[in-house]
Amino acid sequence: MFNLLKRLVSKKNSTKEKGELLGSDIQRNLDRIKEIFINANDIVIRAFRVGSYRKIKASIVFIDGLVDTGALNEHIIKPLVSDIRLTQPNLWLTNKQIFRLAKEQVLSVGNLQEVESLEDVVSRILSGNIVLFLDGIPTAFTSSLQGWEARGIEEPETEAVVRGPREGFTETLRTNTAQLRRKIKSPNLKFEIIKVGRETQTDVCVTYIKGIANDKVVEEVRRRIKSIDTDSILESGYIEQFIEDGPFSIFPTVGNSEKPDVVGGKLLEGRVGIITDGTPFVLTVPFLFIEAFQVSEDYYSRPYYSTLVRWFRFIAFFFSIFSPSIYVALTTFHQEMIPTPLLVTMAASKEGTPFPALVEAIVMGVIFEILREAGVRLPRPVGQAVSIVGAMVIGEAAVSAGLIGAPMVIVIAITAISSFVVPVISDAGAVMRLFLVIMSGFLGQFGLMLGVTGILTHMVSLRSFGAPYLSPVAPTTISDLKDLFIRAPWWAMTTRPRVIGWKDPIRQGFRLMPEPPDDDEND
Amino acid sequence: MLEDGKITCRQIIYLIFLSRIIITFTYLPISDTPPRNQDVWISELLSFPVHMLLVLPVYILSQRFKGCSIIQASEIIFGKIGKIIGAMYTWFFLHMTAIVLRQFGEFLSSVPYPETPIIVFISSITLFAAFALRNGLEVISRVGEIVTPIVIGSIVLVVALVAKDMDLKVLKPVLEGGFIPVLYGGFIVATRTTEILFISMLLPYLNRRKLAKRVILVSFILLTILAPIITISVLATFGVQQTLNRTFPFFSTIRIISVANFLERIDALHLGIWVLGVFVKVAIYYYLTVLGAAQVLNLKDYRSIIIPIGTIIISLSILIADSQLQLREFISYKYSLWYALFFILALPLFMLIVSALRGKGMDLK
Amino acid sequence: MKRWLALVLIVMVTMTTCGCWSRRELDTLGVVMGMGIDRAKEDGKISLTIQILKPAEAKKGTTGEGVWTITSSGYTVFDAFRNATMQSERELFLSHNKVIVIGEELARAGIAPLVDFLDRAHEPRRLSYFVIAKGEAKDIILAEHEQESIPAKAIENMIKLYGDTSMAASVNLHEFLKMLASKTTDPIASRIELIGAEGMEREEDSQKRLRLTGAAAFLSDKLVGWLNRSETRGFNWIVGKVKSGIIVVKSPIDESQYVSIEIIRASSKIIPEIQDGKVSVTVKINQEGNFKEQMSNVNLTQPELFSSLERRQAEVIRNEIDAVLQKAQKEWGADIFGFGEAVRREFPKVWKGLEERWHDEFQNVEVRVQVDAKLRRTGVISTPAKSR
Repeated sequence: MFNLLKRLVSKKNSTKEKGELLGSDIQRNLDRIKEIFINANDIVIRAFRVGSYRKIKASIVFIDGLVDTGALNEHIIKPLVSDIRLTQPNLWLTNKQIFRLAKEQVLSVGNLQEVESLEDVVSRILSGNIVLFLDGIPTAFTSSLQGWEARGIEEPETEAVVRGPREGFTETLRTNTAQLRRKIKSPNLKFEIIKVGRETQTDVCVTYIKGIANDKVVEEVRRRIKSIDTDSILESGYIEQFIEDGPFSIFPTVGNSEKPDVVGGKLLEGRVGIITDGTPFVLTVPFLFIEAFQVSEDYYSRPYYSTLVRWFRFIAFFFSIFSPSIYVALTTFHQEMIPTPLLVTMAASKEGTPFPALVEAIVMGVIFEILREAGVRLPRPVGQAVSIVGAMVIGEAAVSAGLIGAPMVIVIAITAISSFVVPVISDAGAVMRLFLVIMSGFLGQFGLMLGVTGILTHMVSLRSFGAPYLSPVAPTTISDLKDLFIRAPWWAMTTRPRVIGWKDPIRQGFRLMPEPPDDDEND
Repeated sequence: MLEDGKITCRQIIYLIFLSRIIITFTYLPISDTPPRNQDVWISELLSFPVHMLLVLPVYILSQRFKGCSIIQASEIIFGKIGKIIGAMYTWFFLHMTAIVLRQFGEFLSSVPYPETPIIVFISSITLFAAFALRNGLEVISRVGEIVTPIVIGSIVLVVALVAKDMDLKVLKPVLEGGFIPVLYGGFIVATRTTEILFISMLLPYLNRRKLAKRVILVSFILLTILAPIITISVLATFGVQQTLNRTFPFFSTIRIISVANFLERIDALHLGIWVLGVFVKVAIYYYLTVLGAAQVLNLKDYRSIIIPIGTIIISLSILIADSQLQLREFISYKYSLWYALFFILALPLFMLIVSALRGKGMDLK
Repeated sequence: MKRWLALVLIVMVTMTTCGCWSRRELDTLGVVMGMGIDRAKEDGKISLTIQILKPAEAKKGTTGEGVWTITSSGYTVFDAFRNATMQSERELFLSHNKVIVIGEELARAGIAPLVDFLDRAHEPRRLSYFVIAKGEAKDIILAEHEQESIPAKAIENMIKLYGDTSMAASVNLHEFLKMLASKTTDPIASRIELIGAEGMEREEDSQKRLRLTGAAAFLSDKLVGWLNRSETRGFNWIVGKVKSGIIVVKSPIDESQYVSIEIIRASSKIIPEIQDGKVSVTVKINQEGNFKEQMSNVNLTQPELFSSLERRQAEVIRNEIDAVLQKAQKEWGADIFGFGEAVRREFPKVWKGLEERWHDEFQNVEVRVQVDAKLRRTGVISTPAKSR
């Protein structure tokens, strides 16, 4: 992997037009660097001499805090200062010879590269590499001895699972690629680094499996990322908004995950991942609507339960989008739909409440969203208290004060709970919910269905990197229904999703169903 | 090309099927036609061979002029005069859109929302259809792909739920009025299927052109299976006399549903399905109008005329009839039979003969 | 994009400014639970009594207080309805109507004009029960009930329970209209009446209790007469609507003692025949019963006694059928059984000549009754506790 990376980088170096080149005079080079890093007091320039008989000046430049100083001392400075004398004690060495000696015999680090331009040197220093200058040589060594304080690998909170790997991505790009590499040990797994952001110079890594991912999609991802011209990328959300297909849409067309197994699974289906340095959220494209309902644990549990749970997710999604609008439509337009005993109860609790059902629904919806936001932002223990107490007090008090009918509170509670079941599209859900409530408040079921047709039309017109958003429902792909309304057992999942993995559609052999051994021969 | 989208075999089948069945979902036009007794469902079965015959001219024409809609073909055959035929077809689609919209609005204004002016329904659904049109044929057909299984599913559900109220004895005696009226009924059913013209307009956009035959067969087989199911369920629930005097027979059937004293009065469900289905039907007819107009006028892009044509459609659907009665009179078989036959059969046949005589035919592939 | 935004805005504005025509909040609705239609005192007018839900009271469940009642009159049913709204502070809403009660006097004058509104308007439901009151419909609507807080609901539940005896007709508007629309079948409806003072402890209760007492038979759309309870079961046997019920027969050993047999299932078949231009109908009844009670102290659970019980059981059924046939066919000439339809289905060619004069022909139709009655199980004991 490192070789690959090195090749990629060196290729980039050779092809790219360079700015100012390094000179042979070490002092001049160091002066330039000091000039660039003026007032940046975290820069360290360590000067020393190298050589056995004839000593030449050398300097190591790095940023304090980004470099593993122990390794630096052990593998760079100590060999250069002392070991070089042991290997060639009595020779008169020229600068060039020392340079080659250092490169080939002395420096005991894995990734050692040579850079020639000042721009490269600066960017290496900034990304936590050390740069070693030798006097008289217009080339500098660089080695990535990054060793900053980083968060360890933890279980991500957003995607907790009962069964499945508990590791999550971290903020460090290299750790993340390593985690993916550990999952997929194939030379076809590619990582391509693109630097984005004029000021932040963020490493963005496009990852895919060659031969499975659609080359056109990979190329399109590269093109879109490269065309981002911004000063900063602080989180993958920046990239998402720069590359998504439906910038005005309420639906996400780029997926994200914090878990290596999820991203690995998606890569294996033919998707392309985008890892951004500095955030544990890895983007995946193309993103289909159905992915919001496919949770990694579905694939680890046995199929019946997974299918059942997936259906509950669909139902919960339905509730979270439709229950307030259906309630409004039923109570203000289609009272005949309500079973008579229920009508009696509902009408009784409606007696004396001042607001129309539509207003009730909107107000309660807004209050719920505020409570949720408050619960998320406050420190965790306080947040929970706020949300629970808030909901109970407001719900209970509003009902007993006769401001709002009790059924409305139940409806909002159902909506709220259901909206947490499918978190990926809960933000789109909130917008849809409001839209549909308003539509059904004006024209009842007709308005509601009109709103649904509008949303449907919008959804089928969406594409994510060429893949129709509602695939495999529309356009229908029969073979992909195995992972839609049901989750087929693994031995039956013979093909990859057609709109994504069509390049190499066969995932595994047929007839993999486990069977008891054939006993005929023993008889 | 005016339209870059491609549609699949399944999508075009669904469009034809849905567009035909959704009217039956509320109006049951068969109750107006001979034989006017319990044999109407046989008429619907018999309509299948008639459908096949009626499709022939359109199908042969589209095979002869591959990659051309019937409007473009007419221009190739007749030159400038062909534009008149193209304009006639555009008018036909326009008129059909207006009729569908009016039927839709009439239902909404007579049952669930008697106080609301009909123009609200007509214009709002036209607007949403225009939104779909802006996104092209692919989007309309994909919406159709989602809606059709829902429609089929709800038909099956409704039939299963009213099964206990059905009395299949009403279907006897079979062929009470003799065979001729039943056959005539089958003929009328088939001529109502103006969706035959979809084939002439949409085949150029089929992604696998070879499957054209399958499209025709499967869509009409589907229709021939489901339409009698609806008719029989209505007949068996209401008896012959009551079926014939219903304005909205299948809707009335849904109102009869009562399961365990809880699942009653589910007409809003019917309303929902009806809105979804009619939306697709309006969208596709509206689309054909716009596409036809663009082809006649040789436009590069049809998006600019979506709104103007939509306005025309809305006003036409209001002006088309003063009352529900007038509308019903017009779309009853006495008039619409000849009107539709002219466009489905007479004109394509005429074009076919002329093109054969002039020896014109081409393959744009 | 801007244009589309503008369009969406226009739609939103039009919807907010002129939408909401059909909007009604729940607390503006007067939910009609039951209605009674009578002839008004004034000439040619219809008097309508409607029972309106009071949700808060109904939820509390206080007996009979969940509703209040309005009486109004008008030239048509709908007219009377709209006149009723002038006494109601809420808009009347018909979709949850449970029962429609028609007064006897009006039913005798012809019922077809009354039901047109109920069939044509979109609010009323065809699932409401259709009941003919012996006497005035208003009294039925105003009757009191011990348990149910909504009287119309009580009537509905009474009709739903008809299957326990099968001695009442259970007809909803849908079925009634189907029979009414038929060219030959005459309709039938439930019959309900106030019962008298006997058995009531308090004086004021005595006049206000309801009881289902069989069925009301029509000729065309006019009420011709009443069927009592056993005649109604006779009717139910023929049309196959017997669900359950008790057949009481005399014990084969001791004629002074009774045995009750519970009907488990029953079905019927109407087979029309035509011989020499003469129509005859065979009614085949298949019935299964369980031996449920005996009042004598002998052991009746012996095969030969069982078959004797079966014969007696069949005899009871046959008597009930004969009674209703006597009344409907010979006395009124009302084809409430649908024999005409059956003949039409079997012999469509002959029927063409028969259709016009069916009602005359019907009275001469020979009806053969074949009853196949079975006794299946003895219950959880065989001999009575105190047996000889």
